[in-house]
Amino acid sequence: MRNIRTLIIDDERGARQELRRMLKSYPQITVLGEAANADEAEQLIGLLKPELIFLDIQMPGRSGFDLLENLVHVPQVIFVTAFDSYAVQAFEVSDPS
Amino acid sequence: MYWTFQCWSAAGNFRFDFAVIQFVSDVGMYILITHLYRNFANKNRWQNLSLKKLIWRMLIVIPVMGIFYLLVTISKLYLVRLLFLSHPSQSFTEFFSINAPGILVAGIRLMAIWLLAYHLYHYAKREIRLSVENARLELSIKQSQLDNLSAQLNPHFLFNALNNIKSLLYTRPDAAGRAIDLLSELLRNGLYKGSAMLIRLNEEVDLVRDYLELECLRMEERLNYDLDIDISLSGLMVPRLCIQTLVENGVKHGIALEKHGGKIEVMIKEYDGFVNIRVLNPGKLEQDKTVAGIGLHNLKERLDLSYHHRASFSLYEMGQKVCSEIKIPIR
Repeated sequence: MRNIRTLIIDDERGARQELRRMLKSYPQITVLGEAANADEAEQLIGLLKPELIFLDIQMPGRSGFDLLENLVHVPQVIFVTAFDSYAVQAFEVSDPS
Repeated sequence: MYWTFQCWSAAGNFRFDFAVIQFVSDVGMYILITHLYRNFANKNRWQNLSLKKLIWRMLIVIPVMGIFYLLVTISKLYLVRLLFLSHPSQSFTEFFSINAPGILVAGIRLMAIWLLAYHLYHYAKREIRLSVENARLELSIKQSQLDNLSAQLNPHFLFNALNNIKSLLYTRPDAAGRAIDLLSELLRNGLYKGSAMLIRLNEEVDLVRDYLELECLRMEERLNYDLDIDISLSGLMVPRLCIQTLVENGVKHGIALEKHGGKIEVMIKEYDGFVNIRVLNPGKLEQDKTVAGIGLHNLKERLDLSYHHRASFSLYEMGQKVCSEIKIPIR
């Protein structure tokens, strides 16, 4: 089975924990680590080069969108947010064209 | 004016130039008398009296003004006579005793009409102003209730809270239970607490405490809070949600933007006849305050209307913190 190397990025520990718990049902996903803000995430992504990230949008300091703009290595992204208005923006960002 | 002419035609010889002089001087004098009265009434704030108190005063003012009218009018009439009438006339006392009763009656009638019109006009104006203010206040309160309710029903707050509860379920079931209690309490407060515009200070503080405790369960060590409240003020009535609005703003625009979070400090003290409510949060004032603007603008409007501009709201930076402060007069 293919192994998907993943990172969880969210400012709330509870939210990261919950995501981790839910991902346990998917053995093909390996969670490499967690980041609580965009700066930590940028470092970890550079270091671990994950294939997939679960990304929160509103975080202290830079937002999830800001992070994506600065990445050299851009993994696949699954946005995690409670802001419905961000959902539309997320589709625009994820459009590869 | 009518009475003046009456007086002259009764005397026999009507002259046109005379009539003009009388007319002009009459207008001038009566404007002066009524203007003096207006200043007097303004100074004593008679415009703000209730109708009952006003009528009482009118019973005294009308005869007094009538006498004023009499004195001024009769002196003037006599003076004009003396100056312009070639043949010498009666002595002043004689002239006075003949004309005084008629002029006095005319004066009382004229003054009564003028005073009633003057005060009724101001009374009506005040009533209209008050009812407009009340309507605005009511609207403003409804708006803040709606704001608060939508803040708690807003998907972000609600889903975050629910999501947090879900994660607590597996790790700290007790905390999850507590979070559900707190969330219900907040929703109940928004949904059912009626439309009273004032609330006891301690009830408002309880609401703030529930909110902070719930946010703490979610943000964990990133959110600390400290409530420093003078207990003797517990029974004081304050506008609903006035502290809650400030604290919510502090969490959203202060704590949530700081990586390491920080502390919300609420201080409620009595100072110089005012209750001083201060909410401190880390961070800087945002230059474009359009987001924070609506809730705070509404709060300011409610304070202005409820306390007739004697209460104040201010938002300023203090060291590395943002301080939002409300001062409410203690009656």
